[in-house]
Amino acid sequence: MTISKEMKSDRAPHRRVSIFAFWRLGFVCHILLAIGYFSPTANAQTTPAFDTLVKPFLKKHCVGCHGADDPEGDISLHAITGHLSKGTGIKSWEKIYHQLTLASMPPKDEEQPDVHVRALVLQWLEQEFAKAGIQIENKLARPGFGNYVKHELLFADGKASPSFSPPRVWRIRPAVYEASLQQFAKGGKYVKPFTLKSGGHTFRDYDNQYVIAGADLAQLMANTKVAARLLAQIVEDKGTLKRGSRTPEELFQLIDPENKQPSDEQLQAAINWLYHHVLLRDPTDEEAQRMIAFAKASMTSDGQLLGVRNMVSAVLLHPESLYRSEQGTGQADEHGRVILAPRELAFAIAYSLTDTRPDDAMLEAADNGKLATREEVQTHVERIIEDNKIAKPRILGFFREYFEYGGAVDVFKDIALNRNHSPDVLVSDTDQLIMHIYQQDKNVLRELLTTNESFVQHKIDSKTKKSARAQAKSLGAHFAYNLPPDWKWVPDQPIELPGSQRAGILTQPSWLVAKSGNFDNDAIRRGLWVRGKLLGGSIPDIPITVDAQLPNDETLTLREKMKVTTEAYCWKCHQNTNPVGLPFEMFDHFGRWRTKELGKPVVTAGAINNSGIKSLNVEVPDAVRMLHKLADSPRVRQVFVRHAFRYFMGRNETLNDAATLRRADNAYVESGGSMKALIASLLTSDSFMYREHVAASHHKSEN
Amino acid sequence: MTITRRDLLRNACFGAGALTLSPVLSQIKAQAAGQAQRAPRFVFVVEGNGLPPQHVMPLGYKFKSVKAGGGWVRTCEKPVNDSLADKELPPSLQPIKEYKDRLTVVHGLSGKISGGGHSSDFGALGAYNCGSGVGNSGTPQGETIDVALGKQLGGIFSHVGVGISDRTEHDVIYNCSAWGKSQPTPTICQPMTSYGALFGSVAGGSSKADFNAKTNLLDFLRDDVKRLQGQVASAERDKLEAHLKGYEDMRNRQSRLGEIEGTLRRNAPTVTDKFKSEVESDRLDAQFDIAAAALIGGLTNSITIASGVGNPFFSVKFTGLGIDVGKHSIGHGSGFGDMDADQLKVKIRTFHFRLIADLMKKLDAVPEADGTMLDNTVIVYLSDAAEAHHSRCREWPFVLLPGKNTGLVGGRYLHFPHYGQEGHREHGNLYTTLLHAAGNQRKYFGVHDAMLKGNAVGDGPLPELFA
Repeated sequence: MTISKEMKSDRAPHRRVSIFAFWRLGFVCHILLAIGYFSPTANAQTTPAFDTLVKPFLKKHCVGCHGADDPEGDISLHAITGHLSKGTGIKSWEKIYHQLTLASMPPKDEEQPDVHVRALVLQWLEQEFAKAGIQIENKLARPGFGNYVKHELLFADGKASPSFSPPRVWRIRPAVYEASLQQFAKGGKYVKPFTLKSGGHTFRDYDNQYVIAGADLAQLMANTKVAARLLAQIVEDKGTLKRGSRTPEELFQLIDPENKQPSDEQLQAAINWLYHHVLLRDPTDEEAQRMIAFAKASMTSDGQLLGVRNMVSAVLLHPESLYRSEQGTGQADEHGRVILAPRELAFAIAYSLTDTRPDDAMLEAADNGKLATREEVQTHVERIIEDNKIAKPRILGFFREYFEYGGAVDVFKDIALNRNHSPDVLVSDTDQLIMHIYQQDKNVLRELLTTNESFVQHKIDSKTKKSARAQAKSLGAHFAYNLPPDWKWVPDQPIELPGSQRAGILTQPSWLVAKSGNFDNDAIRRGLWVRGKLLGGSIPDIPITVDAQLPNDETLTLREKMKVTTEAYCWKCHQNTNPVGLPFEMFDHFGRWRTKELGKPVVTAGAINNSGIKSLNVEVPDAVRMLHKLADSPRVRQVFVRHAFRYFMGRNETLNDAATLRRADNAYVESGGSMKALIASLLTSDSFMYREHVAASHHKSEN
Repeated sequence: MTITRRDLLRNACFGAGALTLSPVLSQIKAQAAGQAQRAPRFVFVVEGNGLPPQHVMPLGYKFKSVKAGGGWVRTCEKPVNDSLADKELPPSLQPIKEYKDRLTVVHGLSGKISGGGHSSDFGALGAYNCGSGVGNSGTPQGETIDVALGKQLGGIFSHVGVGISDRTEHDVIYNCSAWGKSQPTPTICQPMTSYGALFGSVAGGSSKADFNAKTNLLDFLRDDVKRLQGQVASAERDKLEAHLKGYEDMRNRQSRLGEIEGTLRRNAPTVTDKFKSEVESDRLDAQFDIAAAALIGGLTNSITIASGVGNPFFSVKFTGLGIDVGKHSIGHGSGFGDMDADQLKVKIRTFHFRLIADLMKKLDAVPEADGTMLDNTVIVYLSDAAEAHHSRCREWPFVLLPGKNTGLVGGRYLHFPHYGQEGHREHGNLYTTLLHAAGNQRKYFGVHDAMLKGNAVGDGPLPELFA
């Protein structure tokens, strides 16, 4: 019996997902063992799996081009052996692994391997890399690579296996760090030790992107020193010594010059205060004893004041205050999963929606065992979502990172070309339009893609909470929306713009400017956005073999300049950007609707193509009509759900998340397009609440 | 417009080794691999917004322009290798005229692989394309030359990055230097922060007890992280390993700083108003002071001083020089007062060379071996935006100030054949030369321009630069 026959005997879509889920679990290894494919004694000398599975695979799909004679890319695989642990062929195997992971080889026009066999080859490779002591990166986990997971497999019909996430340790966001520091040690002059990567075309806060090391750690230590000084400070006031304004009584007791020998009880009280305020919990007895011992030793060696400050610093730098740790607790269920501990859930919910730590209600629920079920999680998720008094910058943050319109302020425009250009106002207008649509919470994605309403130079005054006119550098900021020169600003917004000119966020001047160059539109970046964020497509980075420049001829329109990209080699990628990017030529690079370019009627035609959905592949006369067409598409909606998943889970989806994604999509559809329902579904999903169970003995044995 | 995939793969320099390890692991491994060797030490002064070649060209030369590499470049069919002894320096270089015998101007190199535009960001010192886009500094694709040299030379701090950004609120930015792929290293933009980071152990008010207290704390914190490591899945342990390694490095640094406390106290810069100034030129001046003190104090052997480098940090307004217009606008042709854009650029560049001259004087005053510290120091001046405000990187001018004992030649004007001509060379060749001077015989640093063919592309250092 061969494995491919075994797999091919069951091709129902739901079964496929199930098999892939097992693969992610590592269970496929058990299946293989059960059918005698790999055996525990199968070592590098025998490699039966290589001979029977991998070698035939390479022969069938790779050696044709990568053989002995004139191999493509100088990569020859005809003689490669399976002895990775001996270090042979490692570089070639790494290349093979990455190509197979992203399914970028064999080339699209060649016969494609069966997905299950491909998965088994990858599984074999992962095992062999592990045996050889090589850590191989799975590129599918990289930010920006989420779309490489096949959409059809995620949203196939039928039942998907229960979802879960890997256990993880996730560095907290800079905003969370800053907010918590300000909560218990306000007023210090702090620097920002953490940053988020700039993001590019993907979300910024992924769990696999950040470590605390190097210069960040040095800055963190510097901040901690400042905070520890504030929390353990003696000041002189009219000849008497008293505690600093941020120093609690419990800590002052320890540094009071009158108190030469603080008692264990006083130390315990101070430690309790620190744990309550920094870690939001009681210390365990073991923790308290360890901390008391440390404080005493440091006071002896470094003096009373520095010893106490060291103790404060130790709590401030406790890993729990720097990482969101999600390991799960209790017994594994029948799917090999454990649910997050109640406090882990409390922090996960808080950090998903806000930039602050969990509130008292959620901590109380966690400590009283009332945050242990899906229903209990849902109660708090919905409570926070609905409570307008709780600041939720993460909501607008999602839309900002998804649409990327905030980049408008970074695109330099020559003031001589348009004195009325006010990118900060344009971005703020779009922020408000998005939050307006979010608050309406009906058919949110459709509205985001089609509304002809817009805010114009509008803001909510921070004091009066009423509508006010946003200050712009010039009086003509509204020209970006093609409003007439004598247009009178109105507080009652949004206002309606012509439906033939505007359709949602992608026709907001902020987005159009963000996706423009210094002097012209950027149809390629616009197309890239539509392809990736709405159609779920993947386009590789510009190959370094390409001198990516359009001709610098001012007599040509952008569309004419872009003719160079229709060369066969270029078109392989540009067929995916140009047809969906060029319809935005109905706007100029300041976001103004136009009918002419260089004195000639502007050509705005394009096409939705290569979408994977036949009925969606149509020619479109302009961007507005393209966006209306896209807004009707279930595929586009599902791709939007996938992006929401990435943002709120902090990672790319895998096939293992199919159940979570379908549930979220259903929640969105059944609620009439409610973003709140979509978020609530994600934050009550198995992917959010469950972690893969890792046997404790497994990691203990390695320590 | 294209080359074959085979050419590409042949030229791809960042091999599987870099891809294999997760970023965290490779960071740990690379740090462990840091080696200590003796000088020369290196100072990179990187100035944003482009360096037009004529700003640093000795007077009396003329080069015509031709089309090459998709645009115009100055022609140079045959290499130029002239002594500067009888040449007059342009206004920008006047502040260092007394060091003319140590000055080597290098023209004609290209760096198209790095991309161009307003800045090549990490690609400028990395000799690769870091994919920078609008409003961000891209992602490093590997180590940059300043950090690579720092690793090679060792030091309490293997590399120090200081500088200024166009926004006063920026404290630490990531713009031009990198430890490795996806591992940018910081540029500290506030002099007080860089002062604290480098001289904190001997700064006013701190005591030996304070220093010891930190050592005790680090021991406790290491234990904390180890405990967490024991509770998490193996895949997550790498992240914590980096954290742990960070504490251990600090602990080691504490020991080493303790050993040189006396030297540090003698050499720490005096904090003056300019350290806390809102004025860019003051802060840059202070950062040069700190850089000099860090070198003299033996804290590092590789420093980068980045003046408004990288996207989107480059539009510095040098109000301290009486220029109330940002460098971005100047790059787009704006003048100010009675000066046109080019005059403003020269004025700002001259200021940078005045600071470089001050730094050289300080190093020259410190005896070392048979000469002075300056004799064992190489200063490299360049722009992250190559030859222009909107650079194409067909030409990437460099100004080198190599010390007498560094093995590199001074007092020369070199012009390599222009882009694509036989004998043409890239910035990666220059960086390879620096590595060789530091004792690392690497074949090539960075990634070759895949568009260059035949004799216009090659590995190895630039022999013309060796003394």
